[in-house]
Amino acid sequence: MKDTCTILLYLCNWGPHSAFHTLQDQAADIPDEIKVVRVPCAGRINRALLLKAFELGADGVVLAGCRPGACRYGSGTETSERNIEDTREILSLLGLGRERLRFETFLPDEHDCLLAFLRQFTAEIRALGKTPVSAYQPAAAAGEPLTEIVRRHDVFACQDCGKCTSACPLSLTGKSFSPRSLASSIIAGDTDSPAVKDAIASCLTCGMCDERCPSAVRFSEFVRDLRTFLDYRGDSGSAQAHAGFFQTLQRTLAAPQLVPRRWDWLPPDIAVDQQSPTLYWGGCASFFDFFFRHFLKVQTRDILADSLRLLNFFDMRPALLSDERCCGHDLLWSGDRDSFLRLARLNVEAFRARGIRQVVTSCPECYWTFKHDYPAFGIETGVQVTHLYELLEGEIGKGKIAFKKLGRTMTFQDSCRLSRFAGRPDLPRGLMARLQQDTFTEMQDHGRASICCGNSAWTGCDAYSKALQVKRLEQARKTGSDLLVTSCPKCQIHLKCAMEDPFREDAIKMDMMDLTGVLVRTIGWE
Amino acid sequence: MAVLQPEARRNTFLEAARGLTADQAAREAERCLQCGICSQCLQCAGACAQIGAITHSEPSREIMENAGVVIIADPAAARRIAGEDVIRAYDTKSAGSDTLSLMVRGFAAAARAMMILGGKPQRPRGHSVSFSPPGPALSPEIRVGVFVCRCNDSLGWLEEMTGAINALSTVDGVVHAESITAACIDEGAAAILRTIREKGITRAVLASCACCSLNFVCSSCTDQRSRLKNALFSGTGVSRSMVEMCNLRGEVLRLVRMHPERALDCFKELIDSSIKRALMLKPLPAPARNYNFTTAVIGSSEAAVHSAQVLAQMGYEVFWFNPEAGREGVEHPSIHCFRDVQVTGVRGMLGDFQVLFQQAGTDQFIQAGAVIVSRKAAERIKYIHQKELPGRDISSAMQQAGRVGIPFMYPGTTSVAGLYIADPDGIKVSDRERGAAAAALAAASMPRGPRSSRGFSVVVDEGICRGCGRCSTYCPYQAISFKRNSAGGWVASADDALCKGCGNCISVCPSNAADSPFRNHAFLERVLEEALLQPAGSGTGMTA
Repeated sequence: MKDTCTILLYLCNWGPHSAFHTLQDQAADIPDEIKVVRVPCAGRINRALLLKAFELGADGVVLAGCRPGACRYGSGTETSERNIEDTREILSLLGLGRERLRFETFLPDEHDCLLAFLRQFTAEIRALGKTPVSAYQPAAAAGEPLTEIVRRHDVFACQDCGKCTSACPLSLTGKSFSPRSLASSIIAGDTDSPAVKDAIASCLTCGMCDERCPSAVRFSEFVRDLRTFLDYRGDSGSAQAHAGFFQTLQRTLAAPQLVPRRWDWLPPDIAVDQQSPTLYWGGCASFFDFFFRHFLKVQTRDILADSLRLLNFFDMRPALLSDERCCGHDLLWSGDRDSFLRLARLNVEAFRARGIRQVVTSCPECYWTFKHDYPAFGIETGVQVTHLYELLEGEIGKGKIAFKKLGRTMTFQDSCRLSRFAGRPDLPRGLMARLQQDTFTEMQDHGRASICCGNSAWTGCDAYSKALQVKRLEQARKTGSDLLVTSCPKCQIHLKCAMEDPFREDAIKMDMMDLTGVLVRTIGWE
Repeated sequence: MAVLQPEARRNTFLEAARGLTADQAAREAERCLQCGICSQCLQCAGACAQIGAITHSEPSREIMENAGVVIIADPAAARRIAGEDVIRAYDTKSAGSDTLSLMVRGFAAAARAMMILGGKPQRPRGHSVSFSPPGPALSPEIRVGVFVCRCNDSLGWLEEMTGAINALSTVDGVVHAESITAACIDEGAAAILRTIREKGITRAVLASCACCSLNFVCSSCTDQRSRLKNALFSGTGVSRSMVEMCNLRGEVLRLVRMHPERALDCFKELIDSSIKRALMLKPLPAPARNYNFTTAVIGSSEAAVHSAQVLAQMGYEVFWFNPEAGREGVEHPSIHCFRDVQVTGVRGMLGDFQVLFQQAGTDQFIQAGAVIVSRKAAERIKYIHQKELPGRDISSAMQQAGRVGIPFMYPGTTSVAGLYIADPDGIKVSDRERGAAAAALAAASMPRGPRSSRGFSVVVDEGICRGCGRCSTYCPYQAISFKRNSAGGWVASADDALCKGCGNCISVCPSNAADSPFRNHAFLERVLEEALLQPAGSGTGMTA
């Protein structure tokens, strides 16, 4: 690792670039730490590129734009401020600290200001010290050969019946995507044609085809391993939504020296017991709320608070990992298996170090990943993994609980990881059934046959997954319900994203609430 | 300057003039405007000894240029010249006070000049398709030429750099590598062009002080930088798409004197990465599009009426929409009046507008290339950016310090290219001059050459776009419109004649459907890796 700090400077073409040019022309003493990337407008730099610099080991990042009112394009100042503020909040949760990222504005003639700022910021970063994150450069490991992937998943057993394609919600939107033909192409050894690459990236891994395959091929996991195959080949990433922000975030969380600060926001009414052998694992919802606050305005962090309130209701005080990382689900399913394994080892190590015996989580993805994928990849967690619903069902079943009326009519969006992968569509429904029965209506496709929320692992989001989401929201509206209840924070994010549509908004808009939110608002003692 | 008083210097030989204090001297030095008036120090001749461009004893010469009209913009210049064809683009009373008003006065002067010259050159009429002659396409064959400008050795040069350039001839694909004393002078650019032609170079790396090859002059592009680009790309047959430029002067040469070792490291990295980027160059698209040469003038304010008259006298055709019945008409054979009509909106864009109106209860529209609207009419009618979505206000707000969200615009222009306001608010010149200025803007927007993509426009991937509409909300130039896709939804597309390449839409796009072909997301990620993962010792290199 280098001893000196590195500061990445995104330099807007207009004001700051002129000022910087003047400094260069004057052969001014610009600090050696500064590395420059010139951009057309500060507003061009999205949050993924801001965070990417930190993932690659930058100690500080500066976005230099034009003075408010002087942006050539008008919108650059606001866009930059928004992107910077969101990313700073996320850096704060990551434990890297807001102060490592700055947005500063300059006029073309303010080269003195620019130089003074660069010197001062460099001094501040030197004082903060080096980042605990350093770019992970994997040893050149050979991935599993394609033939081995095909053999392990027994894809040869495919009878070419086409049930997978006829059930695939993505194929049904009209996209030229077919699990069956992808399987044949791979068996034939084709991983290079654009159609095959597109298909590997597009699969939602929702598992509908797994349900239907008479030969018991788990196509979703097959696609996951094909993504890993491509990733090892250095041939992935272009299909990642939000410009790969979440993959970058999770890879950053896999840095061993990093000490995240995930629970600083915890409301004071919630009681926890750090000595408890039962851990509540929150998942990434708190990141999502900062990332999506301007456009989608989701509040998925409430799921975490409400889950803890429900546990408190039953006098359970779990421990929390203040430096909780990430289960690694999205990295695994978007092809970065190395980073997934790094995270998994760090997590298990953290469980062991704190004497954790049971992990309770409300996130279907975290649940399935801990329970199934860790052991499947040879990582024994050493803990009992419990979904919050299982725990609540047991407690409520002991009696003396009554639910108040919420005053809403509800329908339910299944999560693929809980309802199909873990095979527990009954868990949320059991809880829903304890609420007033007459207020609940199922959608046309539900339970194990439920349609996906439109995305998994931030991969393959496109015009067709949008069409699928619109179809799903129309189904939800058709039930006549006024509240769409969800059990996964990502279902909320993705469906809310689909509602952002200037042309069809009125036809697909619907209120959403997580099941924990419904429960916490209605639960009471008899 | 302080002077020693006679009382104190009596009977001594002390110097009477005490000189400046250090503070005073510094203050005086700061007053220097660097106006370049020669003080005969002869330093320039020394600095430029290499090519000897400066002849100190050169006598003054008289140069004669012929012009039909003279516009005088500086009150102090040519006071005694007068005549019908001498236009003074200032008003002595308010001159120098308000930049925006001065600009409008300048536009109006241009309009008068065009009127005086009107009819002589044939103005384009009617409509046509403007297309780019097929540009020098990017050849599939890779023959890289590397040209390194020594910037006249003004910041120094290292012999090792010459060695590094010579060593490039062994690099795969490189057919030529040389250093040039100065690329921005005529001889330098001509030598580069000659070599490109003689050696059949299909990808060129130019390391000088200019940072990009695009037809895009940002506030960093000084005279030298744009002069070099003009010399290389104007009518030479060398396409912008085949040249990769990097700012050698700023990134390397500035380090030569103080940190020669780092300068050499940076030099090698910069040339190396530029060659790699040259191999990834892509052709710049050149679309054909409809073009209408008529201007629609909507409204009956003094300024609007005058703009119609001025355009007609310049030789352009005008459709005049007079929403107020009874207002005196404007008589000119080139002005076609639409009376008793109700204009409801404006759609389309520069060269291809549709003015929507109602006449006797029927909805109609007429095509125009540019549109001038009176302020009063602009308050009433909407710019319909997308038929299915609510119309947008037509406004001409000017940037001011501290107020965000307004793009840079000339007074009278709006965020829609080709749509002007005849009498913009807050401009302290007469209505007639404001109208003339609007006419000049409309006339100037008519194409003289083909409109083509300038390379940095955003492209939206139709298969990925989800039709969320964010890009359209954030685009300051209304460059984004929507059409139906095969999945039953809507997809955005960016018009490369309107997109100015700021990329704000890219940073709000949730699914990465929007990206700029020139320096796209993958490119920026790679640049980050180069900048952050390279061994210590590299300098501020890797400027993208």
